[in-house]
Amino acid sequence: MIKYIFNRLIGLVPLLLGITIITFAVIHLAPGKPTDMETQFNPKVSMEARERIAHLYGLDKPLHVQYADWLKRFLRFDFGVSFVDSRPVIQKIGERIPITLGINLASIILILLIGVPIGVSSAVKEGGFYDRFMTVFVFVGFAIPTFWLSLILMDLVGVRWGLLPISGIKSLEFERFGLFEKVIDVARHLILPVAVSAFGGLAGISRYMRSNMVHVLKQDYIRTARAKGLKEKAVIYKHALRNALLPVVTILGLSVPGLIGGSVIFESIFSIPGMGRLFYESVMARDYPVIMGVLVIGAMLTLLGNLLADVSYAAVDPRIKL
Amino acid sequence: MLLEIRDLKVGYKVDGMLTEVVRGVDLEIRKGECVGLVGESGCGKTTVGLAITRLIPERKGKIISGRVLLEGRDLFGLDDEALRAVRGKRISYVFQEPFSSLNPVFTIYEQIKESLPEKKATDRAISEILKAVGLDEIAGRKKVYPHELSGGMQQRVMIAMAIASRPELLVLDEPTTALDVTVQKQILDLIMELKNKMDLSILFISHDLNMIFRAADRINVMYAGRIAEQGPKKDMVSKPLHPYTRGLIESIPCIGHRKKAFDAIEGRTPLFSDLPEGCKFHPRCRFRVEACMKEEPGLEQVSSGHTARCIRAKELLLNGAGKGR
Repeated sequence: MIKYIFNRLIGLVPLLLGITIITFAVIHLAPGKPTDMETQFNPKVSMEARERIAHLYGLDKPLHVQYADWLKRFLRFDFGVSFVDSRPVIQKIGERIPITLGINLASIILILLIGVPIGVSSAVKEGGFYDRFMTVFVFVGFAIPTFWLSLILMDLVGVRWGLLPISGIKSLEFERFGLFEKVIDVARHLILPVAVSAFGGLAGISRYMRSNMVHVLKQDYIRTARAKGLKEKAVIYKHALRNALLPVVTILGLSVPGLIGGSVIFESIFSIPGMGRLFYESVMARDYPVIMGVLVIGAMLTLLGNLLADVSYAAVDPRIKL
Repeated sequence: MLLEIRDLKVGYKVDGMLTEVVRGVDLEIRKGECVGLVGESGCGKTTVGLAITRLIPERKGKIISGRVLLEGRDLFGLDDEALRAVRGKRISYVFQEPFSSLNPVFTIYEQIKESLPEKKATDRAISEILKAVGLDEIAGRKKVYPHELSGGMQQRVMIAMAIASRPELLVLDEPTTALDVTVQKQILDLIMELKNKMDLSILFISHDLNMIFRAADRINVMYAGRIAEQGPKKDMVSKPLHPYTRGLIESIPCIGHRKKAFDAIEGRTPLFSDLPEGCKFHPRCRFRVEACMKEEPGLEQVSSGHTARCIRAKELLLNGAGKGR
């Protein structure tokens, strides 16, 4: 097991290197320069000044030299400083990750808590009214555009009924609150975003769970369990569910990159200062160090997520040995 | 009489329509007896076995009518709770595919434990059951999963689960079909040994007439959802009454028996959705006459305890027709 993980980690190194090369090249090939914001829109800036700024950022060097510089710093886990506000990239990302991660984690837990039971109970009553109703329900959630639902809910819950705050993650008076009030305040801000994103994601897990469960319930060992005289509850929630849950472990491992990636649309609607918006803003400003930082950290987490999926699958399925 | 099946009719749902696949089966199992149920694939024999404790999944099929009496008590009249007290406790099953019949994510230990009543499910009891089915090497080991065992050992585990709570009736549904020939014999020997030791009654379902001849005291031959012939083993071997039984016996290949080709029954089993008029076997029968195509004959007693569903049974027996061997 340890040896397997070690070997896999070694194998990730060249993969990650390849990813950084391609990402670096693509970003620099894209039209526009980081200096555009400061120079293009200002007719007074001379040619000389432009070159000076480019030199300051190291943008006048050949691309491979720039990459080598970036890589040297990356090996020390230094992602450089932002072109926009000169703050360290790692710090900018560090501020945003907990917010996005927190929201997405809450949403995925909610999805599991609701989606798994929906899937299981639909499968048990396959083809019945409940099953068909739930199918429609989760697909409505899947089909409704996030931004539309968000706006409707913000209008109803936030504006008309005045029950919940509609934007940001903190109230203006946040700093004056005690610890308990702070927690409540953040939680109140997160209810709408988490609910909306969970509703949209329900279809995936519940349908997946349903099809796993339908498949498992047709297996011979379910007949064996019934033939033993076990209670129907034990047949379904012990013998069937354990088998049907196995593939969900993989799904969870694979959802790791989504957890930190965030969503531009979503975070913009609710004014959440998360990773999605950071990435969008830095792309718009051609803030190369931040873009590279976000993408590379995302890539690393994706690769680790895959590894985690494989390892945890082996942990829950006795047939798989690493 | 331990178990009586009376006029059992079972249908499967195909495209929303209920197609009858067990079309009125009567079968009896006495205490300590091994009764064979033999027939080609798709004749309904597995369905009969499952129907005894209503194990046919609701979405797939339905018991249309009939009664199953366990020592006189109708199992179809029981509620789910009472039926569960019969399943696995008084009537146990061993299925065809041991690998897929064992839950892959639970240990052998856990799966046998489930078959025992909670109070009796001690480590020692489980070890003893494993030893009883010849699995001494994994007795006392708790972390053994089904995939770590060979097919023969898996089937021994299935048998261990079936006998764990000392049932009266064991329903064996093709217990040896998925196994190697050498392993088949070991499993059959084990079953016979346990039968004698534990005074078990057995319903032995198989398409393999050789197996049935070795194991059973009485044999039921099933064709197209009905019993075609029923009788004691020695009568069935020496003087089969139904042309179908005869065909089955003649199609057993024999080593050392020099024949160009062994006789197979011509044609194939009819579809339940498209059964022929009259005797369901007549399109494949060498001895058919005009009358066979008109009406399906009933089960007629030909000699004591030996019945057949064929209008020419007596006549053919007297002529000794078709005994080509």
